[in-house]
Amino acid sequence: MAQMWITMGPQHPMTHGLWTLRVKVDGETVVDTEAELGYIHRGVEKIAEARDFTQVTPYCDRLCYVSAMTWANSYIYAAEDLLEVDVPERAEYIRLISAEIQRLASHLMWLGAFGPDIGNLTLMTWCMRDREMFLDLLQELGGSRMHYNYPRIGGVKRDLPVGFADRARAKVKLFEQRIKEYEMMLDESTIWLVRLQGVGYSRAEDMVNSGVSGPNVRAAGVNYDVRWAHPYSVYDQVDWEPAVEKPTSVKGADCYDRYRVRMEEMVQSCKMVLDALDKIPGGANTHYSTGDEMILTKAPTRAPEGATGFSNYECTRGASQFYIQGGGDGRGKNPYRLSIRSPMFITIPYVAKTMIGYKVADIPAIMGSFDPCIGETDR
Amino acid sequence: MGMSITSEQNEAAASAFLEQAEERFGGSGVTVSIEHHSNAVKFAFVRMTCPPQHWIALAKWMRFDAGINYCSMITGTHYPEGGTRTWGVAYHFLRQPVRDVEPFTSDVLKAESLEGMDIPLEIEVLIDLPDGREPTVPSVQSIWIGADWNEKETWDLVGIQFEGHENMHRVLNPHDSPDGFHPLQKQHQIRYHDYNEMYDDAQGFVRKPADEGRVK
Amino acid sequence: MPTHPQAKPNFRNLFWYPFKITLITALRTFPLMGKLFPKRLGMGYHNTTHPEFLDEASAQRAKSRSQYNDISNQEFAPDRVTSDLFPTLWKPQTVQYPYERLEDMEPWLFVPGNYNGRIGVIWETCTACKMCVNVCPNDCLHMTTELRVDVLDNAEGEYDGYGAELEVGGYAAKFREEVVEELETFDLITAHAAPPAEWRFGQVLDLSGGTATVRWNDSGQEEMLEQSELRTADNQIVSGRIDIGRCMFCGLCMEACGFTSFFMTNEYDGMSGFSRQDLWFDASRTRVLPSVHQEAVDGELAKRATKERDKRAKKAAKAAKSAEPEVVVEVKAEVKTEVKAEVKPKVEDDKPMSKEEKKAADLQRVKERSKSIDFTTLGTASADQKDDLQAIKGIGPFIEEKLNALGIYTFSQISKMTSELEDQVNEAIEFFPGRVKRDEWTNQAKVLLEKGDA
Repeated sequence: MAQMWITMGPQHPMTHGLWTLRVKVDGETVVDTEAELGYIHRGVEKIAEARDFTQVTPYCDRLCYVSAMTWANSYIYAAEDLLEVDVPERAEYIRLISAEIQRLASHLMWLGAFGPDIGNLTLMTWCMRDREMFLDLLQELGGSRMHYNYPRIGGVKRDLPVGFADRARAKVKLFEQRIKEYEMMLDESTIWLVRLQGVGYSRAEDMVNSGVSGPNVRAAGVNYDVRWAHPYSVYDQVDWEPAVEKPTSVKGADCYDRYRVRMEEMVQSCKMVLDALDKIPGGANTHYSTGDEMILTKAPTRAPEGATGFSNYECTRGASQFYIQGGGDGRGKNPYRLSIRSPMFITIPYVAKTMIGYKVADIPAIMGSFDPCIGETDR
Repeated sequence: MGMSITSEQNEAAASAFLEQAEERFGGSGVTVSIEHHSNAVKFAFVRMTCPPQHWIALAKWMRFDAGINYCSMITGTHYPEGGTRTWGVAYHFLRQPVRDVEPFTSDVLKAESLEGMDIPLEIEVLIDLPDGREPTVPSVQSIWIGADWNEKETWDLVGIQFEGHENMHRVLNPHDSPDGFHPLQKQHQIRYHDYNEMYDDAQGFVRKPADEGRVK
Repeated sequence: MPTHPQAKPNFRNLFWYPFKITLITALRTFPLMGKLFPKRLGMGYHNTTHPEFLDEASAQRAKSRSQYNDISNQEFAPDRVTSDLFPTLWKPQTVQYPYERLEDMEPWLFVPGNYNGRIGVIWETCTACKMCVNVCPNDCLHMTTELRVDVLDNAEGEYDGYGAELEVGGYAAKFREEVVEELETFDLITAHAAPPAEWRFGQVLDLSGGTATVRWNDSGQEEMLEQSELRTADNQIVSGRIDIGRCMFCGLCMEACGFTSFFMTNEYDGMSGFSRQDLWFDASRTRVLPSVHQEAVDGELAKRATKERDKRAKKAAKAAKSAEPEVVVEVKAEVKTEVKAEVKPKVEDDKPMSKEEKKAADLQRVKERSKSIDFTTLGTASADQKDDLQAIKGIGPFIEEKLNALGIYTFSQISKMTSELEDQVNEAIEFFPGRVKRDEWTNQAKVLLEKGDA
């Protein structure tokens, strides 16, 4: 039979973002793929060369808009490395809480998009409903539902609002029960299992060599997580375990394992939030005023030429890194070069190769299970 | 309590790597040093500078002998003022203790019990390219698969050629961008770079973008 | 006769069927009752029966299309389940957004106070430090000056009388009574335009006795009014424009201001427009909640009035102390970025000196300084060779008079000024230091000379 290239073009309901996946099919089987990115390339790295370090933070929120808090935190750690700033412990706890709530919201967004791909439209509404709870929490904290501009070099912008701890605990505890509902619906659903199991195998070592990290690798049986391997915040003081799944085949992890790893990560994030609220220095119900030294250290605004800053951070989709070279415009007020490493930029070509050998109908399952977010891919 | 790599493990890993690297490449133009981050827990990482001609040998040694299995970032920078260099390429790698596992098992690593080559480590390799219009660096596409798209992006945005890279193509810029157009070079400035728009052309209705009329 | 088992009295026939039929009949009346008594039974959408139309034209339009659009005319509502037998009693969940808001109806869903919403600036307390302009990543802010009535000039009660006086060549404002009513019902949040202007501005041409001659800015007409009807207006009041279309609501401007004048309110409304120009918000569209605004303005008013009062007290004390006839001390206002609202070159004493007398005294003083000016370079001229010096930007009527008093009448004199002479003249006419140089009077005069010759 003749082989044919099909373009799952930039506008496509199942590609979870703006990119083109061209698949070469032989009948129903995928024989080759090509990924084209760059439709949402906004030039953040170039823009950053014309902005102060504080002004770059809102741009970093918009890199991966679904998981904005983790990306802003990632940039801030690199800027703190560059400017050599210490962060007060309470601010680290607040960053942890905000990042983990964001991880919950991001995984719910993933599940809410992945479910309809497989055919389960109920998941879309359930996940959006639950995600609203966490978006409200982040709205109280950061000022808006998606792009918070919340962390600052040396701390955070403002303290936990009054009443935040009670609302957060209530919502997280409710959500822990809701996860069980999701599992009840999905893990016993024949369609779900048949579509996800046995599809999209990927081996751990292949993934690591290809630059894939995060929950995708943890689905293949190794619990490597940047939060403990290259520790950066107070993760060693809160009670959690990195989520890991046992792969069901010698061929590696399938889509079902990747889905299970994210469910388990949501459970762990819930635990982390509750624990951090208990352990935060100063108490979760105290509200320090903005700029107080408990939550923010005054940071220098200029970085000399030759100084560099690097951060390694566990974003929701993998390990994100920022590399900043100082000494830019304004006698060092701007970065000279801001380089962003997005986990999805490397994962998407890998995913494209993973699809080879499976059927066309498996494409959305495989693609969705790796959780693509094109905002961070194209920057 | 969550576990994490301790600073003793980190320092031990960094010095062990330093020793190995010095032994293998000492005195050949490759310099190795241990630096410390100034953020978070102030961990150590290894910084290497390498002349371009030794890069492939160093890369192969890193991948196959020293266990650096994760190429995470390739950054190209343009320094038009020159000085010691006009172009720089910074590679960032991680050594991750990730290995294939048997089916139905998982390798739950306990941070405190990792030792030797299993301890995660960050490595930075800086390659400075002397003055030139055509900066070239040997490609490590065949050594780490993860370097493939990173190199494409670096060429696309900065203009550094990777010798030996197969199927180099534009990845973030449009496919029909003109040859030689690499936006992150310093002679290109973003529109309204100097904030001069506010006072003469408030919403940008008077000026036209440089690529107006082009079919994208 | 044998009895039929179904004929005996039984629960089903005597109770159940009658009950069921009654119940069904009762249920069948509900849609009709909902139609007849919508308000009382709460059967409309969330306690309203119709959305309210703001103006007659919209209401007419709606009525003409009501068979399609009005939901109470529909027999089948898309968001209800209905049947003839069992109409449901559930109200539709749609919130008719612009007329109703979800957080008004369900207050536990609140928009938190620190939500990055519409920009609100209290311009009265703004010091024009431009920190917000510098920190905005998207370059959305533009600081400018505006013609307004300063708070101190409009004060009543204990702070009355500390404001600036009307002066010829300055500006005046008259309060427009007709907008008071309109302002009471004006809602900044839902209106798509600026509030109606409260003041009518004009330039003061002449002051004599208790009257002032004013040329209105809007019509160009000249009118003579009582001075008591007018308030002093200042065209150097700091103001600005914000491009909401470019703003990404990051909140950095609010932080840069130190939270004193620049706020992001928690309103998400009131920011729409029909064209991009509508999204350029000027000062009147960036209002904060009236209570917050009033509080800040009161604080600022108290601060300025107290400062003014202290200054006058000090002057009076100094006047009382010294025996010689004193010179009226001038207060030079700050130049450059500090565009303070109280740009007052002269301070009013309690001395009963009228404006004309003061002016005469100033001119006399300037004339005395003409001896120190080197007229060999400038060249001498007389009053009948006078050029229209006001053509030079930066020279107003009073400065022209002072220059004339100094002995400078023509463009050619000004064009011959050297750098040193510029400074001397600047000092002699008691103008802002460096202004002659900054405004390049020499070059302007040269250009005007060429134009005159050509």
